[in-house]
Amino acid sequence: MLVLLPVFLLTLTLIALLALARFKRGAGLAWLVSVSAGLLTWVVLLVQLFIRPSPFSLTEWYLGEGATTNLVFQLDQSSWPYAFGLVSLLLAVVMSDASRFEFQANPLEWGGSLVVVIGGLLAVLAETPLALIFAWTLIDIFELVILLQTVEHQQQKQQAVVAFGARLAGIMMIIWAVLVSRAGGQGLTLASFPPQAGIFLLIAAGLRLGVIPLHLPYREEPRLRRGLGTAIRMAVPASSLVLLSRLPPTVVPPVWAPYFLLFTSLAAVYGSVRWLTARDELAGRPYWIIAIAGLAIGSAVRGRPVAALAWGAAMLFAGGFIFLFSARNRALWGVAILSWIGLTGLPFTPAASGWQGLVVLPFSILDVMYILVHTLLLLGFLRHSLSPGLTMDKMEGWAKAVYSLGLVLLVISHWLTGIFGWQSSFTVGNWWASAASALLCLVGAISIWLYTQRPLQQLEGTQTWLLVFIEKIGSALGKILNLNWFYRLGVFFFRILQRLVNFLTLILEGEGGILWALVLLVLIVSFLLQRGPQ
Amino acid sequence: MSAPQIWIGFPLLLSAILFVLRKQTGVVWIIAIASNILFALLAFFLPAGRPVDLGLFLLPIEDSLVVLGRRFILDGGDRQFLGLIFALGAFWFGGGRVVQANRNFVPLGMTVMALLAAALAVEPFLYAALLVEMAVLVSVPILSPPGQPVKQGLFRFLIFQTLAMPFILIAGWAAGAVEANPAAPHLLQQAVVLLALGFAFWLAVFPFYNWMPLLVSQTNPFVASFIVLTLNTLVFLLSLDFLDAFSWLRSSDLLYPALRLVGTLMVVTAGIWTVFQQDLTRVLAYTLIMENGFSLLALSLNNYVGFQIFASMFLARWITIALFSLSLTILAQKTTPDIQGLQGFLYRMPLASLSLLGGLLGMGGAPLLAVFPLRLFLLENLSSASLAYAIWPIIGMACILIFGLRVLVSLVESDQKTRRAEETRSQAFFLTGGLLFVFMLGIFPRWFLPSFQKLLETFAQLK
Repeated sequence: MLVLLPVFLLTLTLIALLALARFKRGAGLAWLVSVSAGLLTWVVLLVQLFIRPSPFSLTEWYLGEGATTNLVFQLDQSSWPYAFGLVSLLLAVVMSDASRFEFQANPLEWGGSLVVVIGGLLAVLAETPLALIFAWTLIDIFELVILLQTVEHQQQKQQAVVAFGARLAGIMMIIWAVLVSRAGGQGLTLASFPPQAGIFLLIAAGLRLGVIPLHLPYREEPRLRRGLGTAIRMAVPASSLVLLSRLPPTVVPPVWAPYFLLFTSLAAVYGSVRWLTARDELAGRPYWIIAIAGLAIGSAVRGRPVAALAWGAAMLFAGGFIFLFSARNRALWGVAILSWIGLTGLPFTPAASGWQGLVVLPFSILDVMYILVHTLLLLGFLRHSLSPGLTMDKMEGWAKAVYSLGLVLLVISHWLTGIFGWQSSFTVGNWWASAASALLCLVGAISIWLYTQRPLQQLEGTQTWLLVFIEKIGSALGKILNLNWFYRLGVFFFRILQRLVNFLTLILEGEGGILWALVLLVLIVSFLLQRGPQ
Repeated sequence: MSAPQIWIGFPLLLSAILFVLRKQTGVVWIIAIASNILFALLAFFLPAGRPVDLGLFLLPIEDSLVVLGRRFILDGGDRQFLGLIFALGAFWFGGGRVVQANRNFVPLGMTVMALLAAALAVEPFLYAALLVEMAVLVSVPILSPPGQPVKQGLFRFLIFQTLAMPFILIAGWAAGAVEANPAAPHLLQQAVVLLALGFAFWLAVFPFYNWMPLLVSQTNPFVASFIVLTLNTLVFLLSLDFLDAFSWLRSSDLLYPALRLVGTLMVVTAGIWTVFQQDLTRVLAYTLIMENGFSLLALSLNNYVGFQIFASMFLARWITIALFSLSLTILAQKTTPDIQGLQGFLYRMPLASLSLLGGLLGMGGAPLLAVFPLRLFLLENLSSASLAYAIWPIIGMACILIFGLRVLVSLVESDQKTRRAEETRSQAFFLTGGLLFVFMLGIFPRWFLPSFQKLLETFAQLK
């Protein structure tokens, strides 16, 4: 039961926040409660790294007899980094909100962040498909409710429903994987799924992350507050990425692997280019997720689930940092550089073990693509984190300190995860590939600076032909990838089929309906007699 | 005193009293809810097979009662089922008031409930066919209040349900003949064909289900779904009786593939037809058809687990359909119950809209909702026989979920900044209760479902 202690702590905090909001107590008290609870949970998870609690299991969830589906939650080396990442992110969200305190302070929004993190925690702790299905559904409902409560434009509401639909499709894929596994007489836990079922788990994760098939339900980010928006945007992918690190090494049959790798690498290339050229880090957020998810899925397909874990952690920690990094000064730029180094995967940095999934000998074009993707991600991170941002001059002293502390905590947590998070996380990795990527990034940054005579972060899309070109290509690709064309095509065929169905309904429910029913009955009977008993 | 007197006699008596009082809708409503809760509590807590200690004296309660030479038996195995049926009856009759169902709904609905209990109890079970027909006839004034024109859907309902009875009765006669002459194959064929046709008419099995969308869309959806569900439950219990009684039926080579084929056809066609609908009342009917299809698929497993799933489905289906039809009827009081008409209602009637989604997605087998555990378990068992048996039901479920998303898009389509809650307090009470129960059942199925599985204790051969 101790494994669910963080979930209980955060649930209690949520109840406390709702009570405070109900009795209209000040936002300050709510903030203090959130930070205290977040810190306590963070410490609990840190302790649980060294003293692993036993799994929580509800084996007789349904009928008991004959049922293979049960609920198990476990904290292991695959789940701990994500759980720790989610709680660190939550803490950073609430603490960094101190910088925005005087403009908008709404305890219910911290409640919203808490809710998605609770859902995310349940998902990352899920050991069995049933637990994962429940947790995913929960987090999807939370996200949908928060988005529908927050966004105002009709188009964005529709996008929220479409995104929910894609995630529901992911859940259906898990169910199908369960059935495939059951047909083979296997699969009580995610790790024990056979390859023919594992492929569906991979598709499920890909669908939820927008990578398989590549789709972008949110071309424009919904206008949520920075903190809540970051919590939602990071928690949902984290809950999907954790699945990759639980997969067996041979998740995809060899015959399918090249196609998966092609799709994911293209998605990653597209995501990384758009991330680099995005207006700012918030506009680039969906692309950041797609690019890193592409790296993680690629690693899983190549049989390196641990590498997927490293990239998932990088998405959560480094992404969390840059998306919360609104107000900036010199000292914090130093912290940003530390976060950037964490992302490079250089030897003994947090993402070092991730390179084992990106570059696999014998060296191939795929490896080059992944190095390129990583370089572009690094370049984008550098560009967005070094841009001027908001000033910290007008912030009160305590707010400045707490805001900075929140961001520092996130970066430290990433490094802690990199050192202690999982077996072989603190490693040399693939030193030459990581060095090459970091070097290419620096060369790229300097070249752009030399070419334009302006620092990288001041580049505007309209002022350089290269960025204009990339922007246009990206925009065209975006139009293809948001799948609006597909929906229009779907609606076209839908209308045709609808007419057919209406026509058949008219016949069957009309005056001759009973006779038609008898004709259909004769057809069924003759079919049955032809097939005979089985 | 006997158990059939308590759960058949008293409800019948009460329904007669309520019929007399039917103009006093408030009084009728209170009595119906209170009495259903009482019957449910009695079913849960009265000990079976021994006298009840009332302090001053011991009140013996017999399990059986003889009426006109027929025995009605309600033993321990039936009690949990009865309890849950009457508890759900309280919800339905309470909901009837909320959706302003016609005056006949509560008194005659009580009669239908009593007939359901009687059909469960009657020996020889063949007489249940007559009880079904009685229930069908009693339901006519509920579906079409006196003074209003009778619509085509009701006619078809009456025709199909009544057509079933002679087939079943003759099948019963043929079955008796088979028992006497097991070596006569022509008798066996006759019995099987007659039985299949009878149940096909009763359960609105493909291709005989066209009356259902007509009926539900032309009457009060809440009332219609109550009638259809009660009758279907009754008929499914009767089907268990047949399976239990006749070994030649249980061992028939053709029965289980036929059940699987027809069940799959019902699930898939209902799903596909749902996707293209605009009118949600018709969708309610298709979900009822789909549920019947899933029940047939559970029976097609031909093992005890299949029967367990089959029995457990009653509860999940009742509560989910109750929520779906209640919310739909409440919304229909404010707008046309179609996709266009529901635009923006999430911001006007949030609880009714969420309940509608809960019911609709629940019937699609969405996780966390009542039907999900049973669907998953059923699909698992189907796939362990062959993966091909599971794919079509999944497609049917996906179709309902897609339609659910269409409804969701419509519900959120509003530029209004203001948000209201136009539900009345009683509506909010029943909707919240239903929604909570649907979630509870989906998340903690083991708290509720084993009670329904005790129903199988009555059928000694189905193990």
